[in-house]
Amino acid sequence: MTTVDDQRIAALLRSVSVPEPRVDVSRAVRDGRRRRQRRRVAGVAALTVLAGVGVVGAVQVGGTANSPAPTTPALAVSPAATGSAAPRPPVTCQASWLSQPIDGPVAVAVGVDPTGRYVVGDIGTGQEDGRVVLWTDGRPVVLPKTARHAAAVNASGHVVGTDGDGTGWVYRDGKLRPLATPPGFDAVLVHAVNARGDIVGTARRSDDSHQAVRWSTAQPQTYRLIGQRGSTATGITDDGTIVGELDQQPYRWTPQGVGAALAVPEGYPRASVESARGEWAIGMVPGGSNGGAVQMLPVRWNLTTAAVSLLPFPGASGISAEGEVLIGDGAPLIVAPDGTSRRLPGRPEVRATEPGTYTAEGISDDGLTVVGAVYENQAYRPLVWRCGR
Amino acid sequence: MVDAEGEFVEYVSARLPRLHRTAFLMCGDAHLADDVVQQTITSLYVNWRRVSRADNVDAYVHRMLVHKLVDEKRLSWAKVRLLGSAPVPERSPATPHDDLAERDSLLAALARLPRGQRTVLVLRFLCDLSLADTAAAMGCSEGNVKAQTARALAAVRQVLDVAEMSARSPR
Repeated sequence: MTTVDDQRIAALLRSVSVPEPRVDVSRAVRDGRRRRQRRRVAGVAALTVLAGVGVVGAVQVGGTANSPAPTTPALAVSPAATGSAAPRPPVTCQASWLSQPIDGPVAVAVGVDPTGRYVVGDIGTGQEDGRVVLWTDGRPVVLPKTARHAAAVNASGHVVGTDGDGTGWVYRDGKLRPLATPPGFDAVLVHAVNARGDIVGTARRSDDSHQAVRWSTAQPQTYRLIGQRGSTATGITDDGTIVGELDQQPYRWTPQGVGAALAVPEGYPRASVESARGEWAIGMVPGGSNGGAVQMLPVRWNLTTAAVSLLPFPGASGISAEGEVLIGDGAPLIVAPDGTSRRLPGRPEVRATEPGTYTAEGISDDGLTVVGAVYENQAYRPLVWRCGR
Repeated sequence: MVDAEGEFVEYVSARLPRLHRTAFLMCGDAHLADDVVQQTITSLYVNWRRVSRADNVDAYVHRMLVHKLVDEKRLSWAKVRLLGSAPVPERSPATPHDDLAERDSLLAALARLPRGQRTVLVLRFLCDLSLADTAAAMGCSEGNVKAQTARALAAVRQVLDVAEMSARSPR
């Protein structure tokens, strides 16, 4: 890379025409004043926050409502359903910090295994030493330096991920081993691992053509291509059902490799699939556009009944085996298939209250363990929520 | 209090276009850019008394903006940062009014980049963030930032060179 190139690109970025900002400074002052008042309330009401249904939780919903409202579909399930009477016993949750075996301003939990026992995360200082961490019953182990960017962990504590150069890896019983990149492909992106040790991901060529792949934790050097050219695999359930896409349409494959399309919600051109647990899968559709902007909306499939439903939330991070969807953006929220929802509580010592202070990235099969991070004072700290009925 | 508010309004009004440009070039979505900038300046108002005493207010505000965007996009980034397979709008929502071919091509090239790559380009070349700051802002390693920058530059350069060649060639 030459300096001239850099300067030319910098100059172009500064001069290229962009749409007029539609930002309201006086609204910022108004909203900001209100938020300052709430912050005072939040300090006093730490106990309410722990209960998870208090004033502060509700305030955070209000904050995320800044995102484009017109694209929210009119559905039976809505954020207003929060707190509506559920027939099941109430769930109480407690947030606690995950220990940090190494220092770093960006320390996040990115996934949890279906049992809730294993948590995988990433701790980086922004230097060349960002590391993958595996917490077992809360005890952290730092993976070898060459393991980067963990994608998932299974109930045996086997971790899979993809290096920066596009090589897959599996960490099992203390050993790190590379996954084979199928011949003719340049890179892979690993997404998921199930209880049997089946690993799925997508292999790519430099011309961006791609195909879904399955490996196993026991034999990382063997692989099987799934489907056909143009397929991707993003999730696998414990019975070996693979979900992903074929030519940008949602798709599933039986454990024997027989493919079938998944339904796209009516009125939408396409959908992506992000992950699957039990008989459920989640993904996204391009929502309504407003002034050319497209908002992605979360979608949930029931793989048994083939039913598909849209969820009126800004984005989904994960799904439990019981079909509970984890809404990780803004203030973390869990939405059950019947439309009831529960908000996850904060930590009393966290003062920041703006949307995005808490992020949730993974949920266990019973929906009772959730992992994520808190962003405050320019640093991320890893967090686990443990819930009980 | 009123003075602090006046200071805030003056500061934000002056920086708004630049903040919005940064947000737009990073996400390619005018609406999301508006939303993220609105959130950023609201948080800025809440913390104004503390922030306005900082040595480098601009740098601070910048980090706030980047983190808001990262928060918005965290999930998608975690999944697309290496190869970019998450669904993105097929066309760039921006309609460039500029008639310079090169500028059009740059927007088109940005729109085709995976989100991680366009973010590193904007952070490093528009916002002048260091390798370390970019990595910290995106929650990934410096190596990943380097790799993505290299890939993004290669893609953008290719588009720009093609545009340049066709502009130079006799017609």
